[in-house]
Amino acid sequence: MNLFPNSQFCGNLRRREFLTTVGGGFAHLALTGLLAREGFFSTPAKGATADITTGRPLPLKLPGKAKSVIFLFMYGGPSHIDTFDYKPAMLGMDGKTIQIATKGRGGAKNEGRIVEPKWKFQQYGKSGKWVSSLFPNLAQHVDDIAFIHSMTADSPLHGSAMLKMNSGSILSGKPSLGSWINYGLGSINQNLPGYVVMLDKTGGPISGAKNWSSGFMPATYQGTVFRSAGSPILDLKSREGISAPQQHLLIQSLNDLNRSHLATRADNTNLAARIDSYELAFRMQAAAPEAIDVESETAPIRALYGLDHERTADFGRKCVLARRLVERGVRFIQIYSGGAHNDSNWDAHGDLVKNHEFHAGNTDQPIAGLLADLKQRGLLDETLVVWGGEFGRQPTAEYAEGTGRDHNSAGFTMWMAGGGIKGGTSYGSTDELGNRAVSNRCEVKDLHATILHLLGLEPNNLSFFYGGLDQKLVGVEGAEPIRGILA
Amino acid sequence: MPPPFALLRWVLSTCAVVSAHSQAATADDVEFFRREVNPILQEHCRKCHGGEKIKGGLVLTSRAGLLKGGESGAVVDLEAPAQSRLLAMMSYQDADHEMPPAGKRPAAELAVIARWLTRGAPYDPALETEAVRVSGNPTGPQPSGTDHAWWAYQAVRAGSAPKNTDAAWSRHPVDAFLFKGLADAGLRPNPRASREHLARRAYYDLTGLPPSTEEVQAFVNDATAEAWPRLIDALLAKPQYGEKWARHWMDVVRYAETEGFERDSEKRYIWRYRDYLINAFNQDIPFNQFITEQLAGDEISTPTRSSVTATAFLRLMPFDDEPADRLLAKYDVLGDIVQVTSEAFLGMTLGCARCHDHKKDPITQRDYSSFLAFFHGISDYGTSRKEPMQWFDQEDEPRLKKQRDESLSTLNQELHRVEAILIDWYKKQAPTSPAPPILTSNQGEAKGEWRHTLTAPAANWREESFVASDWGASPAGTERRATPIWQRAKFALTDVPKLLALDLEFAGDTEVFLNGVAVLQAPNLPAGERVLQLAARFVKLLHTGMNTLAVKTTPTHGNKLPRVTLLAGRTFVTLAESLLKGPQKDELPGLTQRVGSDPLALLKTQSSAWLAEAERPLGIPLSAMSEIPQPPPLFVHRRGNPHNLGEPVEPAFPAMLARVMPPPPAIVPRTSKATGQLSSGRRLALAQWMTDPANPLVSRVAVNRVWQHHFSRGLVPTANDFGRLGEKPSHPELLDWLAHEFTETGWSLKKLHRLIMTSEAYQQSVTAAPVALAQDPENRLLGRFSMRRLTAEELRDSILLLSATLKPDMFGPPVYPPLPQAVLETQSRPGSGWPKQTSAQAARRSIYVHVKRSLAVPLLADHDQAATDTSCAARFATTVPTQALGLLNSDFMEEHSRLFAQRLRREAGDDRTAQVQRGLTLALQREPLPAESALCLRTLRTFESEFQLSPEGALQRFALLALNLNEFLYLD
Repeated sequence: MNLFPNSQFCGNLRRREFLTTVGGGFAHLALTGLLAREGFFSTPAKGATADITTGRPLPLKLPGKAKSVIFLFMYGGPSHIDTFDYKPAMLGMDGKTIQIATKGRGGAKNEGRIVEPKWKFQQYGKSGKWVSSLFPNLAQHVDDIAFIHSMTADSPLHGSAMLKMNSGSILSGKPSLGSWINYGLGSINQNLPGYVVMLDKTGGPISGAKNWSSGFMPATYQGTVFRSAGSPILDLKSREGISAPQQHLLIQSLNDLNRSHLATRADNTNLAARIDSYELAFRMQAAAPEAIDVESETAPIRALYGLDHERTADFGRKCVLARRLVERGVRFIQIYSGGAHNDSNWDAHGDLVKNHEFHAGNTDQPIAGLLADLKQRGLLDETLVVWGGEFGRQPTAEYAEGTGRDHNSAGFTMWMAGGGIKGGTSYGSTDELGNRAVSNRCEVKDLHATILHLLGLEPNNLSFFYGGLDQKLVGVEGAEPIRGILA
Repeated sequence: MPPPFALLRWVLSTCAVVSAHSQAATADDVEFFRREVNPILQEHCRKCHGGEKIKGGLVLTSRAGLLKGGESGAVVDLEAPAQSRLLAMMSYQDADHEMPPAGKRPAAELAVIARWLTRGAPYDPALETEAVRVSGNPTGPQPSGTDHAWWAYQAVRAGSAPKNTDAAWSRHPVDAFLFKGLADAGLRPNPRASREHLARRAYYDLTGLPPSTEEVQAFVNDATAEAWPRLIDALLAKPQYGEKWARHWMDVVRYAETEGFERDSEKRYIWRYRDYLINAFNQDIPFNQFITEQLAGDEISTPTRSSVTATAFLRLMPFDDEPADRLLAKYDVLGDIVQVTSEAFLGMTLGCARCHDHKKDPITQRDYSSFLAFFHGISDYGTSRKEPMQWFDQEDEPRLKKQRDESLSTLNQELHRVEAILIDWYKKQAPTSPAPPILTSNQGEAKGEWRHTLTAPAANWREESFVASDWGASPAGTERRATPIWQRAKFALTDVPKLLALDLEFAGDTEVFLNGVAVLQAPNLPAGERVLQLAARFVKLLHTGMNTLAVKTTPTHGNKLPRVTLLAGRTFVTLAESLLKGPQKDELPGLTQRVGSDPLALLKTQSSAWLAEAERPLGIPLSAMSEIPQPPPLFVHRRGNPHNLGEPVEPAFPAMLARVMPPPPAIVPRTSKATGQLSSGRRLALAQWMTDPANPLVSRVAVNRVWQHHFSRGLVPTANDFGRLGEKPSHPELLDWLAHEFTETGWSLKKLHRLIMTSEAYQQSVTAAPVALAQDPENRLLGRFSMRRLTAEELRDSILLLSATLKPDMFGPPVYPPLPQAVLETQSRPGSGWPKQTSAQAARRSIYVHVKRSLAVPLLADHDQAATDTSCAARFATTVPTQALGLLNSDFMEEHSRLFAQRLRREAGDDRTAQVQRGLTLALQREPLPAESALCLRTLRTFESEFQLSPEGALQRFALLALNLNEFLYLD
C-alpha cells in the first residue's frame, strides 16, 4: 500500500542518500512533504527544491489534467477489428485464403484464411465513430473517447505481453505503471491504498502478482488486491469476535508500551512511524469498508452500472467501486475483465463469437455507466479511463475451421477517455485488414508516456535509481506523449 | 494500384539521366533538396538520425552521413538508386527496418526520395549540420585514462591502524580506524551496550533467532573478558548461523525456486543450492572457493557434489520459456547472469554496458560482451523441463541402492497384493480356447521347410523370391554361437488365417520378416519367451500357397538358438486385455471391495510408480550447470540487439583492473569430471581472475557485505556498486585493512565476523547523545550502534520460536505455509504450485519456505523480503499500515498468538501476573519493568471484565500484543 507519510524506506540509510537512491534527481511530493515535516529542509519545501546531491533544481510537477487513472484491462486481447477498428474492406472476404504475414501463439505464418468481422458496425456521436454491435452502450460515449488504432507491443505471447503492458518491459522485475504513478505522485488518502487492483472472479491473470509488482521499488508501491465483496483488503477485518473497541484497546496498550520504548530512543523515527502505522491501520479498518459500500448507491446509479442484471453485476460493481475510490483519492485502479485461462478471458482462439459476446456483454453497460457517472459528477475531467488488452487479434483464422483468432501485437486498438483526452478522436490506423499498424504507430511506452503526462508527470524524468541506472517506465530511450489525442 | 515500391522502381527506371557521380550539386539540385526533400527528412528522420540522437549509427544531417550508412551497412546505392536500402526501409519492404517507425510515408513523399537518390542525393551544404556524435559508439563517453584513477580500481592497501590515546579504542584496529574519524569530528564513541542487548544483538546477527532467557542470563552472569568472544564463537558454530547468512547471499543472487513468467514452473532441485549455501557458511568454506564453486564448480579439477551443486548460481534467473524472440531471450538470460555476477562479486554494474558504453565507469560495451563470453557456452539455464543432472558418489552408491531396494520392496508388496487378487479373478475369466494351429516352427514340432546360414547372405535374403539352396538344412541342432544366424522357412497355406501370432524365445537383436516385410525389429530383447500378436496389416501379407518367414537373430547375452513359432490365431487373452475390456459391472464391486479401491486405477498408479522407481538413475538429482562443448562465436550486439552484430569478441577481463592485476589466467578447455563433457574452461578462468588476491574489488565487496549486515549499512553503502554511480567508502582505509586481513587469513568469513564483532564499535549502545545527533545524524562515523528491525525471516522465525512450533529440521525440499484463499486467488490457477500443507508441517525456518516468483507469503512480503527478479544489495525497511494489519489480523498471527498464549499457560500456570511476566520476558529477552507488566495486566483484565473474553481469549490478546511490540521487532 502507498501510505507515504508513514513510510521510512531505508531505515538506516541517511536521508540525503535516500534522495539519491530513491529520487534519482526527482523528489516526489509526498516524500518532500515527509522530509519537510521532519524538519529535514531548513525551509519548508513546497514541492520543488534543489536536489541536495547535485544542486540541480528539481523539475516541478507539471500541471496535470488527471488525478486518477482507471485502467480497464481486457485481459487476453480483444479483437480490434470486431470492436472499434472498422474494416469495411474485409466484408465479403470471409473464408478467403490470402498471403499475409502474421505472428502469434501459433508462430509466424505467411498465409491465412480471413475471418470477417463478426459484428455489424454503425456510426455514433458527432464524431461519427464506427463501433460494432458488441458495445451498443459504450458507443454512446464515443465523443468523449480517443481511440488509438495503431498500438503495437513487443510480444504476441501473453506472459511477456502482460508484463509489457503493465510494466513497460517484457522481462520480469520492473515496477508496474501503478507503482510509478504512486511513486511519482504520492497518495492523497492515507486511509486507502493508492494502487488498487480488482481481479476477475475466475482468477488472476497469468503471472499473477507480477502484473502489479513494484519490482525493484519498495513493496510500498505495489498494487493492493481489492475484493469487491467481503473484506476488501487482506487482513483488514479484525478477527471474528473482536470488536472495534477491543481492537482499539489492544492498539492503545501496544502503543503506550511502544511510546515508553521510544522515549529513550527518540532519534529513531522508524519507531515513531511504527506507532503511527497502528493508528492508521485502525482508521483504515473503518475507512475501507465505507469506501466499498456499494449498497449505499441509489437505485438509478446501480441500474446505470448494470448492477441489476446478472451478467453485468460483477463488473458493474467493480466500476462503481472504482468511481468511489477515485472520489476518495486513490491514484490508480486497475480492473481486470477476464481472468484465468482460455475463454475465461478475451483470448478467443476457438469460438470468437461466443467469447466476445460473453466478455463484451459483461462489460459494455458497466463501462458506459462508469463514463456517464464520472461525467455527471464532474469527475471525468480529472479521471483518465484507459481501455485495452495486452494485444489485439489477427484478421485471419487460427485453425482450419472456426472463427478463432490468434494474438496480434503488430496492430491493435486501445482507448482513453477523460482527464485531458480529446474526445471524439481516432488516432493512427492499421492496414485494410487490421493486421499491422501503418500510420502514427504507437508503442506501449508511448501509451505509458501519455498517461504519465496527463497526470502531470514528465515521463522522461520520472526515474528510480537501481542497478546503476536511472530506471524509467518508458525505458532509457524515452518516449513522448501521443499528442494527437490530448485535449 | 501497384504497390509503392513498384511505383518507385518505375519512377526510377524512367529517369533518363542518372547523376549518381555528380559531386557538385547544381543550384537546381539544391533547390529541389530544400523544397522537396529536406522537409521530409526534417520532419520524419532527423530526430533519431543525427538531430537528438543517432539510432542505428545512421546520420542524416549531412550528405557524408547518408553516404556512410549505418550499423547494418550502406543505405544508398548511387550506382543503382532503385536498389537503395533507404527506399526498401521507407516503403516498409525491410521488415526489420520499417522507417519511419511511426508509419509509412505516403507514396508521393517516397517518390520524392526516389527522385532525390536518382539525382545523386544532393544536399544543401548550408543546411548540413554536424550530428550529435558522428563516430564511435552511439552513446556514452569513451573511457579515458583518468577513469582508472577511481578509488575502487586501485590495489588494496594494507595500511596499519592509526594510533590514538584512548585506552579502549586503541586495542582493536577496527576501533582505531573509526576513532580517528570520530575524533576529527570532535565526537566520542558510545559506551558498551547492556549485556542483555549485546546477547540479543549477537544472537540475531549470527543466527537470526533470539536467545532464550537462560542463554541471556548465562552471558550476563559471565563477567570475564572472554565471555564475549566465547559467545561469538559458540554462535558461529551453531547450524543456525548458516541458515541466517545464506539468506543474505540469496538476496544478492536473486534466489527463487521458480522460473517466473506465465507458467512460473518449479526450478527442480534448485533448493539444493540453498542447502549448499547453508553448508558453505557453516563449514566456513573459504570465500575464494565459494566464488569458484558457484562460477565453475563443474570445471575445477576435483568437482564434488557440493561444488557442482553450487553452479546452480548460474540458473537462478527468471526464465521465460515462451519468449517472443528466442535469440533476444537467450541474451537477456546471459545478460542477467553478467549483471548479477558483476554486481555480486565485483560491485560493478557491468549490465549497464549492454547497449552502449557505461555512462560513468570505464566499462565499454565490448567489455560487457567479452565478459558475457565467459558464460556463452552454458546450456542448461531453463530448468523446469530438463531432466536434472544425476550425481553419482562412490560412497553414496550402496546407501542409495539400499534406499531404492527398500522403496521398491514396499511398492512390490502392495503391487503383488493387487495383482494376486486380479490374477485370481483373471484365471476365472481366462478363455479356454484350443491352442491355435502352428504355421511354422524351428523347434521340436518343426513345421515348414527351414534353412539357415551363419555367413551374411545377399541383401535380398528375406524376400520371397530368394533362393536359399546353398543354406544349411533345419537349424535345430546347429552349433550354438554368439554370432548372427539367418533363418528362412517356407510354409504352405490353403486358407489365410484371421489372426496371427509370433511365439519367440530368445535374448538379443531380432528381426522377423514375413513375405519380405519386417514384422518385428527389436534390438536387444531381454531373455524370455513372449507371444506377440501381429497386427492385422501383417496378416494381410499372407496369401494362399507358399509363404516365407525370415528371421535374423544376434544373441547379446547367452548364445541360445532362437525358438521361432508362427501361430494362426491367438493362444491367450492377456490380463491387461481382460482388464482393459473391463470387468463386467457385476464383478467390479466385488473386485473393488477386495482391492480396496478401483483395481484398474490402482494397478496403473502402482505399476507406474514401481517402474519410475526402478528406472530412476541411482544418483542424486541436482540443479546444475553444464556447457555445450564449443561455445558459438560471439559478437558485440549493437544497441544490445542480438540481431544486429558488431565486431567479434573473445572472453576477456574488464580492462580497468589490468594495471593492478597480474597477467590474466589462461583459458584451458577441459573435460568436466562432473559431466564427462568438454567444457570451455572459461568460467574457471573467470573464477581464478576474481579470486586472485590482487583483485581489488572482490575482497572489498565481500567484507563490505559482512560489515553491512552487522552495522546495517556498508562502509560503502551501495554494496552492489563500487563505481562512480555508487557511494564512496566512509572509511576507505578501514575497508582496505579488512579486505587485506580477509585474504591474508584464508578468506574466512567466520574470522571476519569475529574480527568485526570483537570491536568496541560493534558493542556500542544505541543511545545517541545530542551532540552526536547534531554532528552526525546519519551515524556515518559509527559513534553509536544503529538499531535495526528484524528481517522478514527473523520476524517469522521468532514468532514460530515463541509459539513453540518452530521445527529445527534443516535442508531438503521447501515448505509451503498455508496461504489465505484471497492470496491464492490472485493466481490464474488458484493454488497452482503451492501444495497444501498444514501450518505445523510448514513451521520451519523461513529460509526453507518455497520462494515462488509470482506468489509471496504476505507476512514476509510485507516486511520487505528481497525482490526475486533482481539482485537485492540492501533491503528496504518500510513502515506501513499493511504490516500492522497483518500482524494484528492475519490467520498466521491468530494461530500463533493462540499457541503462544497456550505456551504461557503451560509455563506460567493460571496466574495472570506470571503469564504476563513470562510473555514479556520471552518476547523481549529481558525482565519487564513493573510499569510494563502492570499495563499489560490491566489490559488483559479489561479484555476479560469489560469485553467478556474467555480467560484463554484474553490471554491470547496479550500474547498478540507482545508479538507486536516495537521492542520485539527492533534490535538495540
